[in-house]
Amino acid sequence: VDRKAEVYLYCVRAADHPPPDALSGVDGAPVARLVRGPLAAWYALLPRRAPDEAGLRAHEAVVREALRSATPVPFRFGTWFADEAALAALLSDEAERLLALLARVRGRVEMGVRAVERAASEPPADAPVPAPAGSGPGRAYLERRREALGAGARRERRAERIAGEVRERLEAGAEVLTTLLPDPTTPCELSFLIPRGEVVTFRERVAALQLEGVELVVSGPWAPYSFVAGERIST
Amino acid sequence: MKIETTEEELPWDDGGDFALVDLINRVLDRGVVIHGDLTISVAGVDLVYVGLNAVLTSVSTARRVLRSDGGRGSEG
Repeated sequence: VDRKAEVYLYCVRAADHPPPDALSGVDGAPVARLVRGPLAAWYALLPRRAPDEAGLRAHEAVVREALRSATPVPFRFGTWFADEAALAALLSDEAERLLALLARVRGRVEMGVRAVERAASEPPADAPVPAPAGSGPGRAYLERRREALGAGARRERRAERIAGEVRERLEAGAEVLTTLLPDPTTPCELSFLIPRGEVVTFRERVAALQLEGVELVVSGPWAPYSFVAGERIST
Repeated sequence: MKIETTEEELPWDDGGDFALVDLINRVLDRGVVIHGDLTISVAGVDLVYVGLNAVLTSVSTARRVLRSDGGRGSEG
């Protein structure tokens, strides 16, 4: 199989600071910078490859380096261009959109808050009423089916309630996105876009938040992955 | 045109050893998208990541969540 190196894009940010010397990213490939006007792309030359844990961590490490001095627009893992000319075309053709995105996230970072069910959690107060015994098999099937659907709906309501409570008690002007996760141990996850200077306060506020049945796991600062997720650029 | 952007220093989390689920939720599932189709494998779990419509949740419960038009791989 021909494994030709292509242009792998990490993020786009203002063209002020170059990547640190000797910064390497996915598969150890050195990170380079391509500048067009006010915009810079941080990229590397590497053959296409599937994502794995090492790849994701390497991608994030480079984006974090960019985030260190100013908030970038992060791209999803797996963004390849045929060559530098194609990447330069993106910076030129989409300059307006990318500048608007940079302005939107400027001076801010993303923080994640994930709710995790406590291990020995008691059943939720709104547990189902058991179906009456002694029904026929068809009836029993329908009851089981109804219960399964009910359990899903209850889990969703519970996730929404938790997310609502976290939002209400942490929001304080931040932009918030909520994701309900189908994983029963992790009912929901929230992403907050907060000023860079408020990371420590934010962590403290999450730590002080007591919610019944769930623990809150805070992560970040991240580049604003969740807040640019709707952006789709065709080349 | 030049934009000045040096911003406030950040207090990083502990050595950057963040949970894989938080990493996947962001680096694989969010961020700006250029291309449509990718076939990927995460932590030994094969996943088909179709077009722009996939939502990847966590390694332990990784599953496909596709919109009704998923699978065509068309650009959004």
